[in-house]
Order: sequence, then C-alpha cells, then structure tokens
Amino acid sequence: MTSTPGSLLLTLDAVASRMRWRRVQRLAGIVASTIFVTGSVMFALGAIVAPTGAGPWVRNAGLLVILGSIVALVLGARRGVSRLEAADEADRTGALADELKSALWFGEASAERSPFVEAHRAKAESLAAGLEPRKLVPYRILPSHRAAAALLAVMVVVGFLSPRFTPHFGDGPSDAATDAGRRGPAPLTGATPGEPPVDADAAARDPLAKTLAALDDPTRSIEEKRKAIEAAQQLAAQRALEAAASRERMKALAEGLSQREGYEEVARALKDGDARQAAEALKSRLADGGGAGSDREESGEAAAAPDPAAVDALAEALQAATQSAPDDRTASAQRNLARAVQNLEDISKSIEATEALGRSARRLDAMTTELKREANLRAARFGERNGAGQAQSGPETGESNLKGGSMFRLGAVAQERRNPGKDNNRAGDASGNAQGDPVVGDEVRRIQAKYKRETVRDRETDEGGADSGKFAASRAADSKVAYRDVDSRMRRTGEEALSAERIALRHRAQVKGFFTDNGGSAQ
Amino acid sequence: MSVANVEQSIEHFRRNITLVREQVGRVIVGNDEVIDGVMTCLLARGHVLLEGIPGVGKTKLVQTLADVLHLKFSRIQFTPDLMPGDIIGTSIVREDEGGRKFFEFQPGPIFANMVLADEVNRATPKTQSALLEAMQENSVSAGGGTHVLEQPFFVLATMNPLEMEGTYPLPEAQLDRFFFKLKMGFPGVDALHQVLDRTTQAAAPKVERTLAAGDILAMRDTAREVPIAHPVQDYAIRLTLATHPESDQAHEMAKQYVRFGASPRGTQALILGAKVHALIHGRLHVASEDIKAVAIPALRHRLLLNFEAEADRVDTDAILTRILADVPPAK
Repeated sequence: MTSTPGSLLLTLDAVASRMRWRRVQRLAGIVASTIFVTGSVMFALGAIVAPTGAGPWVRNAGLLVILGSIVALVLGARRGVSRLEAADEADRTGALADELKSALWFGEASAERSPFVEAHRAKAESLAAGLEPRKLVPYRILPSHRAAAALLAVMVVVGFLSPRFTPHFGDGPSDAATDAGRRGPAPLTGATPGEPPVDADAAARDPLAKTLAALDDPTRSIEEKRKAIEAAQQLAAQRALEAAASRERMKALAEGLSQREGYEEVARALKDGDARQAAEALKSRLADGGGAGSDREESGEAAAAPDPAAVDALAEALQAATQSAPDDRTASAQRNLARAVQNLEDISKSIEATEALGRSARRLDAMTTELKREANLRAARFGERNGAGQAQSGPETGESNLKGGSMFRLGAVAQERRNPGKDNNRAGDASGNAQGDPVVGDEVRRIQAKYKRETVRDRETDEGGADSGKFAASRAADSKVAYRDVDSRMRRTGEEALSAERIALRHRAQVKGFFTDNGGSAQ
Repeated sequence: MSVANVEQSIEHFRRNITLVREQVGRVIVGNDEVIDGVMTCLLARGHVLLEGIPGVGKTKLVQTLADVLHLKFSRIQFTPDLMPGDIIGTSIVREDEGGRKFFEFQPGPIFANMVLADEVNRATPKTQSALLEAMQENSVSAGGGTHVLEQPFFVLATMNPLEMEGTYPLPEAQLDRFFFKLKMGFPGVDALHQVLDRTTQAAAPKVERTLAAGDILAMRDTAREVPIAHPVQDYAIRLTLATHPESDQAHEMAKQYVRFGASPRGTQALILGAKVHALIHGRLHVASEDIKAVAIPALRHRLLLNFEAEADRVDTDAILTRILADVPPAK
C-alpha cells in the first residue's frame, strides 16, 4: 500500500472531524433526553402547583433548563478536536500501540531526525494511508437517546394537536376544578326553596366532629383542646339562637295560618313548635296521599339548625299553598303543598339537630371542667433557673401560681428522699456542688404534695380556702403526680446534661468524687 | 544508517531473539517471561536479580543462556566466608627467570561475560559490595590498578527467599542497582512432566550456540536507538511518581503502604526495558504497552514498604498492579 506524504495528517484530520460530529450527536441525544424529561416534569408540576399560582415559576425554570441544555449543545459543537486527540482515539480503537500518536509527536513537536525516527514516521504514514476513519470512529446513537428523541417528537406533536394536553401553568382562565378548590364550601344562604341546606349541615357537623376528634387526640395540648371546645361551644350557641329565632317565626306563621280554613291543625302544630306534626297535617291535604311529598327520603342524620332562609321559604310555600282554595287539587296547588311539607320536614330535622348540638355542648362543658381540674392537679414542673422569678403559671410549665414563689428544679431535686424532712433545701447531694437557685417568696411549699405525702396548704388562694381546690387529695391525683414526676425528672436530667460538661447535675457529685478520690489515691 | 538499514537491523534483532528463545527452550521448560526478562536485561546493559526457591532452574537457565550466547560464563557460590578477593581476584607473588619476584594479578571469577552470583545474600556486605562495584563501574580495582571488565558483562544474582538465618539481606541502595528482579515460580504439572522427561533420561538436551559477544553488543546499540515520544515517556514518569507517597500524583496504595518510592534508576530501567520490549515485538517506537510490560520487573525491588504493608501482607507486585490499572496510559 503506497502512502503519500501527509497521509498521516489527512487521516488524523478526517478522524478528528468524525469525532467532532459524534460528540455533536451525543450531545443532541442528551439534549433531547433533557428536554423530554424537563417537559414531562413541567407538565406534571404545572398541573399540581397551578392552584397555588406557582405555575409560571415552574414554566420559567423548565424553560431555563431547556435553554441551558441547548446552549451546552452549541458550545460543545463548536469545540474542535485536536490531531493528538484524534491520534489517541485512532490508536485506541485500531489497537495501533501508540503508532500514530508517536509519529505525530515526532513530526510536529520533536526536532529529532534519526534514522529510527524517520523509519518510524514512514511506517506510520504507510499505516495511516490504509486506515478507514469511519471504522475508527463509527457514528453510534445510543438507544436511550433515540428513545428520548422519539418521545420528545411525540410529545411535541400531541401538544400542538391537542390543546387539552398543552401544559397549563395557571396564568390563564381557571377551570371549574381549580375554582372549586379555591372556593371552599358553598355558602349557607341562597338555598333554593325546598332544597335542604346541605352545606349548613356540614358546616355545623364538621366543627363538632373536629372538636371531638381533638379531644380524643392524646398528642394535642390542653390549650388546643380548650380552643377547640370554645369554638364548638360558640357554634352551638349560634345555632341555638338561630333555632330560637326560627321557632318564633314558626309561631308567627301559626298565627297567620290559624285564620285559614283547613289549616287549623297545621297552625296548631306550628304554634307548638312541632314541625313534623305540621308536615303530617299538610301531607293529609295532598290529593294523592303525599305522592308529591318530600322529594327525598327522611334522612336519619341530624340536619343543621333551622336556617332563617329555610323558614322564609316555608313561609312563602305556606302562603302560596293557602292562597288556593281548601278543595283545590290542581297541580300547582299540590306543588305548593308539597314544597311546604318538604320545608317543614327539613326544619324539623334541623331543630332536632340543634337539640342534639345542645346536648353535645353540655357534654363539652363537662369535659372542659374536667380538663381544667386535671391541669391544675399537674405536678409542678420546675421552670428554668434564670427565669425563676418570671415563671409563668399554667399547665404547660407546670408552675403553680401559689403566692409565696415557685420551687425550682434544684430545690425539688434537693428534696428527694435523702432529705425528706427538709423544706427549703437549696442544694443537695443530687445536685453536687452547685448551689440551688434562690427561692423567691416568703415561704415556699413543695408543690408535689402527693409525692411527699403531704398536703399543700395555700395561705392565700384566690378562692380563699385553706385547701386549694387544685390539689385534690385523691388516688388518681396521687398516681398522676408520681407519673409526671418520673417524666419531669427524666427531662430534667436531659436538660442538665446540656451544659458544657455534659454531666447531669444530679451526677456531678459522684463524678467529681470519683476523680478527686482517684487523684488522691494516686498521690 | 538509512531507513532501509533500520528495518534490516530490526529484523535481525527479532530473528536473534527468536533463535535464543528456541535454543533456551530446549533445556528450560516454561518461564518464557523470565527468559525474555533476562534477554531484555542483557540487551539493556543491566543486571538481573533472580529470585526463586531452590531447584526451579535458576542456575540451569543462566548456564544454558551462556551456552547459547557463546559467552564466557562463571559461577560464584556465595558463602559467609567468601572474601572480596575471591570474587575480583588477588595478586600473587611470582618469580621470573632471573629469580626476581613480582606481583601478578590473578583475575577472579568476576572476569567473565556472564556471572552467576548464587545466593548473593549469604555473603558479607563487604563481599557483596565488591560485586556491586563491578556491576556499577564495569571495572575492578585491585592490585594497585583498575581492570576493565570485558563487555558484555552481565551479572545474574540469585537470592533464596527461604533461608533467612545467617544471611545478609542486600540493602535497598544495592538492590536498586539491579535492572530487573525476576521471579521464577514452581512449574505446573505439564511443565514438570516436561522437566522430568528432559532431565531424567540418558540423553540430555543440547543447545546450539547462536550468538556471540559481538552480536550482543550490536543488539544493545540497536536497542538504544529506538525513539520514545514525549507522551509515552511522560507515562513512565507518572508511573514512577505514583509510587512516591509524598508526591501529588501518588496512588492511594502507595500513600498507605510505601515508605520510599522508585528512584530515577527505576524510570531509566522502564525506558530502556521498554525499548528492548518494543524491538522484540517488531515496533520502531516505544508504546505504552511496552512500559506496562516491563513496569513490574523494573520497579518491584525498588519500592520500600512500611510496616502496615507487612502487617497487611501486601507486596510490591500488588501495589504495582493496582498502579498500572489506575494510571491512564499515554495521551
């Protein structure tokens, strides 16, 4: 095989060109994959975050990523391939043992022209003339890149042809589902005559259900439970007022109906506040025995408190019904009667629901009282040393609002079983050398009365009695105090260990004694 | 030398190598890598440190090679009582015809082309240094004068890895003077069959002399002519630096197990050995694979391991194998 001078360089240039285009192909595949993945993520995220208004951000971020990948493709395509890189690639793929690379170096970078170098270069030229660049650098598109490009093309076509699948990022007119999500429950007012106030039922039931769930949840704090109870009580009171107002309206309706012939029984039932009886009376007026009666079956569920709008609708329906003659059996008259019956039944249900709500409210009151008692029976948790004087009383801190001061952690620690008889210890064995915090107040009483089997006496309490009602002498309180004492001691130890020495106060004496004794014995 | 002459010299070189292999192969079974290594050392003007348990054919290999190459051969069995004069020679008193006495230098066994220094670690350091000085200088100083050793001068030193009692291990500085360290392993089943067939019968295999001293010298000059491109030489340097724990190109294993890395002599051995290896394989240039092929024999005795390597039972071959796998070839 003959070689022409420069065939080595020509071959290397051809190899370099193919290497460059192969790099472009690979980058294009990567870009297609990136665009496909980014587009998919944008589509999915856009649908998710559109209600929150973050859709444009998602779109812009995705476009930025796509733009960046395209820029990377352009920059990668512009970068060239050197002859040395081409020689390295050709030697590697052709198993040429650095022949081309070495010859290129001697030709371009070395001035050595020994017989061996010339022979080496001549041999490399001859070898290069017989090489096929397309075999040395084959174009190969990875299957993953091919799949990504195909999927990307499909995505683009589908997006153009079907607006439904076009990504929506929440900056156009919102759809019904989005609006519904933003709106919240339907308002209670504006219910059409004859239609039950379904939303009012939910609005009344849900707070109550949530309150009961909160009370049963052991993870909720006392304050949260108290707030939930107050909210439910307010709602119940509101509903009770509405029910009372509805009853008054019904009485007024009764007064009006009593003058109408054929409606005396209805009027009597309304005056008694028995809407169900009134509905039964109205049903009997229907020619077909109540076939055009209530559109819905009686629901076993308790409805909400009588909505004033429902009472208005009832009044309107009754008025329309009583405008007809007593023996009028026309369709319009029947419809009016049926509407009135429906309204009466709904109102009766709402009254029953209100009564049930009232019973729940009374239960809630009882539970509130119980919770308050329980909070006050809590063992006193000792506040922080530094904040001793400003310790807030309450079930969370466990501090007592005893006049005379608060007992701090060290003081209580000092009053452990080692010193059962002492009241005002400021330091004890468990606290080591640390001095107890000063106790604030004229006289201090230990709060954990039941723990020490003592009764806490308040000199001056808000109630003015010798024994505070907050510390009930009962076995239940006993056990609760003891239980909480264990928990508080564990927490105390953990808090004390947060000092720089990482040694709990209660253990400091022992640790110090260990090192002191050992040092002494060593000497 | 013209380009055509180059091609001829390379063909001649390869043909001679092939002849030597064939002849040595008549006597020595297997150990092709060891034979190639010994030939590489010989042609690169180096000396070989041969390690193997007794009875694997170390002495036989050297004797056969000396027969094939038609070189003057001498064997020195090192013992603890061997003196330097026993190696390099001594001056004796002679009397001429007139009765006058004079000193005459009697050359020792080192005055040969191929010297087998058997169990070199059994001799005292003083005796070892006499040999090593001759290896380095290619001359001997004795009897008030300097005696140049005839070229080619080639020393094959053997070390018995089993006997450690009563031995004087060669210091690292002296080990560094050996070009290659080759290991002769125990032959396999098939090789043992061949060994027994050849050595336990009445007729022993015979070899023909193929090369002479002049041929060896010419081949040595040819090997030195082989060019090496800068990127390939850079690869050899990176390999050497990878063995130095304090270097920024140090390999992780070198940092962990090596106390001292290979010296510049090691890099010289890499380059020269790669040149001979390239010629043996018909190349006019040195390639990365030539460097790789000679890296382990050229560097294994030049790395000084720390105690952690001893504790973990890591040897230099394992470290060099990892370095060769991780250091990228010439680019």
